[in-house]
Amino acid sequence: MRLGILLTSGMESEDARTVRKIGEAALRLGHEVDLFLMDDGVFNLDCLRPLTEHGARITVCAHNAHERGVQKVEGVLFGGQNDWAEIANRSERVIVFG
Amino acid sequence: MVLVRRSPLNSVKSAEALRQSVGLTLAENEITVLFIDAGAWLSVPLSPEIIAGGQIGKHIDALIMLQARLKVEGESLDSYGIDRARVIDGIEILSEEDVVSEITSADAVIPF
Repeated sequence: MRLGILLTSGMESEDARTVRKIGEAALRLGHEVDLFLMDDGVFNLDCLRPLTEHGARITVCAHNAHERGVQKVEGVLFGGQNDWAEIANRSERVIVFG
Repeated sequence: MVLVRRSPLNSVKSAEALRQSVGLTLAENEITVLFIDAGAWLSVPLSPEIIAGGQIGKHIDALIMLQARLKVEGESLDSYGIDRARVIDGIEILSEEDVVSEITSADAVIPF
């Protein structure tokens, strides 16, 4: 199953931890995981980036990253809302945190 | 479906919800934007950008032009004392029961 996960909350919330744990479990079960970070969710990039080592795809809203001074890193797509639109369209389940 | 529950005046989240809604139309998704609770304020003319609250007018205009379905819960309007006659043309007023039908018929619900 393809899971699309949207995270919009920042580091003041437990949401990123929940996303990481759900992402790890989903990948262990063989599901595909697409994660999109926007708004304050971009602050959690470092915390969630290890998911890419297990096959998750992470996209960051470049507009929100630029607003918040979050720098580009390897292995993560700095894209836009059109990327989230594609993720939402192709995912069999969409989960939103934030 | 994008579900907007927050006032546009205390947070940029509502404006971000509208920005995402415009983006979601780009992958041939059928989009419904539903304003409930304090989000009902998005259905009437406001200028939160004056107080750094984020642009909403241009996103609503774009969504109407892109033929997204914009809806507001009538009970939410009433609870905030918002005159139903002020609701922007192109935004449909729904009952609570219709809101439940909209939510349950959506493939995905993205709350803000």
